[in-house]
Amino acid sequence: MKQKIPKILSHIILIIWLLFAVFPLYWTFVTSFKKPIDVFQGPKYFPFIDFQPVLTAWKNLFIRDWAQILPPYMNSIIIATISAFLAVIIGSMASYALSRFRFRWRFFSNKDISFWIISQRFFPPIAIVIPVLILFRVLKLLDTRSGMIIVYTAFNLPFAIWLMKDYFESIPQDIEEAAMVDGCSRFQAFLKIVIPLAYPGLITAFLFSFVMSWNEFLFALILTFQNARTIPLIIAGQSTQRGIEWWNISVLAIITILPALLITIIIQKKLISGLTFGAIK
Amino acid sequence: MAGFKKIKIKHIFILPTVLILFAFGIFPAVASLLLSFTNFSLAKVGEGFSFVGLTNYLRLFSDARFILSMRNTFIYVILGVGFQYIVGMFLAMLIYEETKINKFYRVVFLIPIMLTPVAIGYTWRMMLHGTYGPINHLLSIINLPGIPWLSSTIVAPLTIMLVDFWQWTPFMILALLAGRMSISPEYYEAAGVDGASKAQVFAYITFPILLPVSLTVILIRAIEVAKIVDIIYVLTGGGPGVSTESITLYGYISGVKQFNLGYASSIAYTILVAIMVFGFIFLRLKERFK
Amino acid sequence: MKKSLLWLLVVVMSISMIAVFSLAGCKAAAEEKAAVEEEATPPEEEVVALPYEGVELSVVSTVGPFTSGPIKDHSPEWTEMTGGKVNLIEVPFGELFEKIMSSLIGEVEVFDIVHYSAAYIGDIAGGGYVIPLDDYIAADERIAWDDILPSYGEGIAAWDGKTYSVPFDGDNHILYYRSDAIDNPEYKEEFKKEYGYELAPPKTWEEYEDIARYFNGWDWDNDGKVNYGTLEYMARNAQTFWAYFSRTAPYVCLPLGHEGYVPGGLFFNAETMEPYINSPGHIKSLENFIRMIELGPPDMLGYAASEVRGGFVAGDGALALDWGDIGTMAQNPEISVVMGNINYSILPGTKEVWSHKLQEWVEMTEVNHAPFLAFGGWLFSITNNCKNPDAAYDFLSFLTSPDISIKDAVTGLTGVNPYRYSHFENVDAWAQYWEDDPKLYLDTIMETIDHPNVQLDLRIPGAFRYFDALDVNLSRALSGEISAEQALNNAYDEWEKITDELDREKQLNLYRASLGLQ
Repeated sequence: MKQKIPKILSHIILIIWLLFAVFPLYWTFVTSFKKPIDVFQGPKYFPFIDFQPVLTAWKNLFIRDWAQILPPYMNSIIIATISAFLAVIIGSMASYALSRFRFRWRFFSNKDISFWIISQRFFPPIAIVIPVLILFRVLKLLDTRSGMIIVYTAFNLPFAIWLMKDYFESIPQDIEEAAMVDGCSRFQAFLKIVIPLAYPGLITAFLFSFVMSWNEFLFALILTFQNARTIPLIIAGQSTQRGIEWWNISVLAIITILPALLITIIIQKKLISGLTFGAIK
Repeated sequence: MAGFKKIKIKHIFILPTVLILFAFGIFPAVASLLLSFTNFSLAKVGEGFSFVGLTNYLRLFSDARFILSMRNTFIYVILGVGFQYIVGMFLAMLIYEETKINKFYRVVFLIPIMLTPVAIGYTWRMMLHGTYGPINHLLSIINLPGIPWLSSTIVAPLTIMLVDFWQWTPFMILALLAGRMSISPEYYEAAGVDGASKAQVFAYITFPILLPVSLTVILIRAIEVAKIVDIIYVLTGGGPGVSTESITLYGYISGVKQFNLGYASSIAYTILVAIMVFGFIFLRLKERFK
Repeated sequence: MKKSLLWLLVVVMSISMIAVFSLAGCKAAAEEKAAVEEEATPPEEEVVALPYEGVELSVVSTVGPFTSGPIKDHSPEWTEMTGGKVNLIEVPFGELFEKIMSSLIGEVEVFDIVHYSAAYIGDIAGGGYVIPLDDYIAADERIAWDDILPSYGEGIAAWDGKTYSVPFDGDNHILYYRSDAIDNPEYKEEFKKEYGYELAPPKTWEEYEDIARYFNGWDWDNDGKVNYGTLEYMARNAQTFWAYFSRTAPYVCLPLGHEGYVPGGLFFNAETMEPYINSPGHIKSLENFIRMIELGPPDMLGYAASEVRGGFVAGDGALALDWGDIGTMAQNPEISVVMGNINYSILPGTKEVWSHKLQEWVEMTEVNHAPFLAFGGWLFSITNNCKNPDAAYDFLSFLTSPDISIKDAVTGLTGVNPYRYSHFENVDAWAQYWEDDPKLYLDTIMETIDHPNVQLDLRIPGAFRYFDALDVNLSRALSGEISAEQALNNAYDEWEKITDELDREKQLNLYRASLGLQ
């Protein structure tokens, strides 16, 4: 009996936390089906009971505003996909090299290189973005997708390398050495043997990088104007003169968080080791 | 020079990464530093710029807005992350056992982590709205007064922390959970024999073993929070007053909105140095506890 | 096995995602382009060569429907007439100025037409980034330049003696009040008992405060919801500083001819460019403004246009100060419950005015009004980069012509407030959309613009920077972080710094020019 009370208590706490974690998403979801009047007359909680859900906001987005929403949405998809892809390609080479070879340059060893790479991630973006702004002005890369792809590739690279290094280290060297004895070059061995074995790691790194680029705000705010605007900027720009149209914003928020949400659930097991750079396993 | 003669395949493998990180790591770091000693302004590109020595840094000390945004950021880091850690630890201890329901909790708890912060910012702004939002309404149902979530200089910074808390406490939970699950049961068996209470077990076994993990997650979160900008941009824009303005937001405003890139660089560099010092101290601390 | 299958699935998914999205991206963009072009091509039978066939104009404006909505609404008609195409680029208002400026300076994105607040004309026209339009206007009948009120056509749209822009919107603040509250005999009686004078639309800001206090926090319109005294602009990064200047103008701007009169009393000393911003008049007005916090909804510190306007037409407040927008929004039955119960007046004034010249308070026998043309309206200019200025001007002339602009002026949510004589005279056009009599509204706006002591908005280079420095300090004072005096002293210091940075001599000359003093 004595055991029961803390148990029930702990479940109550967990359920409260559960509600806390999920309620904002629920609220966004129901608001997307509201009419303006259902918002402005004070909070309504349950569709069909409190208010009649309508598709107005969804129609607004997918029909009326679609021409404005599609280009930034495509920008986000293209920029996030390609930059994540590049980060994985470039990062996989580097993490392979770090897991297989010994580097030594003056007092710089593998460990130092790894640390240097990871320390990039801790740089405050505001310190990086100002010189990049000036550089991009000169190179005419401002407000271009290519510019954003390059920035995000660099931004994701440390992440990707740390995630993948683990995988490469877990692959026994014997297999590729055997292949090299059979006449493969080092590069062929990397491509044909190691990459296929490490692909779960590559996918995780890819999805991670994708979400990071998808959510990124400050670089996009400063380095884009129109042609390369990404979806977070469109959301951030919603509260202007027209007033805040919560129902429309809710729809926009849903389509924005959806890819990230799905990916989070797919990579849930790797999430923590990814976010902590493998410092906790 | 000998190094250049022996370019091997290993160098080719790592070269792209080194080049990119050079372009987006070392170059900006050096350029920022140089810029911070100039009066470079986008508003006067035609007129060029000149080196002004330490003027920008001296100006920082007399700039009330800089000091306030520095203070705000510091509060976000200390209070915000500290609270996330405590609650995260508590919840992790509740769900470490491998049961079905706990597995379910773990999946649901992690949902907020990777969601787009600006979208989340709006969601919260909507919920915290004084007249149309559900939170104050629910409070009024249980006869509590409405809280000025975004319009009081005292509450608004707490609201910013609340949203960050909502999004990132799951990270603490899951990281500490992973740490807890990797502790060998033997430690606890011995304690069970001695008849130690749960609190004692936590204080003398779990907590010390989790200390290195704790320092790591706190460091990671502290660095992330030190860079916070998007949630603030959407929720309060830095107001009321400058009560929620973070240092990154102020850097953005002075650099991009006021075109004063030289001054903004000195702000950015101050953050960079602060993060480095903080990180260094923390890593040292971690070495000691290992 | 199961696990590897899952991974396989993920691989296939992501690869196809990359492929589909990158292809779809190009394809969708191409299709979209094709679709737009298809739409834009006029029917084949009219082979009459259209003058601007193939011309594409990029117009940068703020996020609609306010302000940029009319561009979107009317451009298809122009396309049909001329064959030219309009490409609207919408930027959030908070970033509009930087985007325009960085494009003009850095040639990042080349815009043909820029749409901006009158306060930026000093930076935009003064910076030499846009072309003068006098020759076009002189040769153009459609734009009917004489129909535009001189305050806008000759005042705000001009810079340094030339016309660099076309007005699109007339802006000034007026007072809105609920007639069902203020004209209610029961309340009148009670108010008189409490405050010792007759309840009527406020003539001074002190009366405004009394009335707001009387009507705050109870349900005076009997709809079961608590009502508030006043709805005020108080958010940071919004329209707060304009509301502040509107409140302050009568405290610091004596009528022309008074012995204590100085020109431009709201902003700077026209001899030295020293800011007036921390004068006792400015401080007193800010203190009055701060007291309003208690007299409105609990979260009013976060109120910007949407909350003030939306709240007023939803019946929340008894008093509000706004541009023309509440007026038109109040007539929209989808959002408004105040139809029939709304009335208008010129903004309150004050009987005590601070004279910068005499350095003392002047007691006036009559209430001193000084309506402020806040914001000054939206302007269009054609940039130097524009490859086809003829087409660009043609579009502007079409969009702002009396026939087209009246449609925008009379309907809500366009952000266009009347700025032409014909807008005021054509009462019938208003009546179609208005349940209430539009005459009262139009007369109030006209009275404001025509007022002898009307004050123009600041329109020198860097206006935005001055405003921004003030804005943060106002927000700090409103939220109680610092006192009114401290806030305005801070603003004074920052304004001095900005002036020095931009070159005091140059700024002074431009400021004098903007006041018509040279």
